[in-house]
Amino acid sequence: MTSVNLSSEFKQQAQQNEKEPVSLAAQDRVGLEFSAPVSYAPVKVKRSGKRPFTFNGMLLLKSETHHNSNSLGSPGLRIWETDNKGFVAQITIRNSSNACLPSNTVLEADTMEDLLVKLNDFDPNGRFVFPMENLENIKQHALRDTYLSYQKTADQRQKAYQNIVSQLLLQNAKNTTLRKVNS
Amino acid sequence: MSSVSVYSDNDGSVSVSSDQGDASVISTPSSFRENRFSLKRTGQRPYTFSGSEICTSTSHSVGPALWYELNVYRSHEGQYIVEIKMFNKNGKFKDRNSVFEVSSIEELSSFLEHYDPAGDISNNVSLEGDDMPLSLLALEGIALKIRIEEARNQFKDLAGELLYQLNSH
Repeated sequence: MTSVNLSSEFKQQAQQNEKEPVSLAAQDRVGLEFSAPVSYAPVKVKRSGKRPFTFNGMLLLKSETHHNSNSLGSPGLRIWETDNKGFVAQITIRNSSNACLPSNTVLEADTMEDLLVKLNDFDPNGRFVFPMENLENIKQHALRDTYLSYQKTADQRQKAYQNIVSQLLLQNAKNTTLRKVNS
Repeated sequence: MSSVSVYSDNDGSVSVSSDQGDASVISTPSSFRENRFSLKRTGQRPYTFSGSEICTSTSHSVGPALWYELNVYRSHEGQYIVEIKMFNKNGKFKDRNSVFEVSSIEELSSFLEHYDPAGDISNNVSLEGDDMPLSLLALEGIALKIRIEEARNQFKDLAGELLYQLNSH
C-alpha cells in the first residue's frame, strides 16, 4: 500500500496550493480535453525525484487514457501556459498497477513549438516494473514469454503516448493554419 | 490500491486527493509529540534522539520486488532526521536502513533529490568457481541492473510525492 502521511504542522501549509486552476468536467476520457482559458493562478505540480514545480499558469489541456489492468501504464498529459508566456507540461506514467505511485515528469519550454519537440522526444517507457527473481530456476520459455509480454506492453504504452502527442501536433497545426488564414 | 493521506494530531485522519486510485485510511501515527526515537541503521549502532515524527511514506505495492519507506523527523534541537528503509520481498537480498541528518527543509529537499539508491542494492551472487554458465551470469547482471533501476525509480516517485506533500520549494 503506497502512502504518504503528513503531520498536522505541515498539512495546513501543504493545502494552500492544492486547487487546480481550471476544473474540467470529463476526467477519464481518451483524447485531449481543451479547457476554456480562465485566468492565471498558482499551480503546483508533482515531479518524480524533485521538489514540486510551482508557477502561475492557466491549464490549456488535460489528457487521460483509460487504465488497463493488463498494461503497465497509460500516459497522462497536462499543459499550462505560464504568466510569462511560456509553457509547462506534466507527463504522468502509471506503472504496473494502481498500487504503484505514478511517475511524473515536467517539461518546460518558451514556445509551444519547443514544448511539442520535447514532448515528441520524451520516452514513455523510461520506467518498467520487472520483478526478476530466482534466475537460477527460470526456464528459457518463461523468460521469453516475459520478454514478449513486456515488449508488447512497451509498444502499447508508446502508441498511447504517440496518439496523444500526434493529436496535440495536429491541433497545433490547425491553429497555426487558422492564424495564417485570419492574418 | 494507492493512497496519499494527510494526518492531523488534533482532528484525526483526513484523506486528501489521490490521482492513482481509491484512497485508503492508514492508522493514525501517534506522532507529533516529543518522543524518544531509536532508528535502526545497517552496519551502525542505532541513531537515537528526542523529537517528533513529521512524515511517513511507503512505496509498497504488489508488483515490484522491493519497496522504500521514507520517514522524516524533527529533533528537539531543530535538526531534520531522514530515515531511509529499503525492503526486499525476496529473502535472498538484504534490507537496508539508513539515517541522515539535515538542518532545514531546503537541505532535506536537496538531499532527497540527489540521493542515489543504487548504494542500497546488495548482490548475493557468488562468483566463486568456474561452473557458473555464462548465460546465468549475464542474467544475474541484467537482474542487478533492473533492481538498481527499480530502486532508483521507486525512490524518485516516492521522494517526489513526499516533497509535494511537504510543499517544498
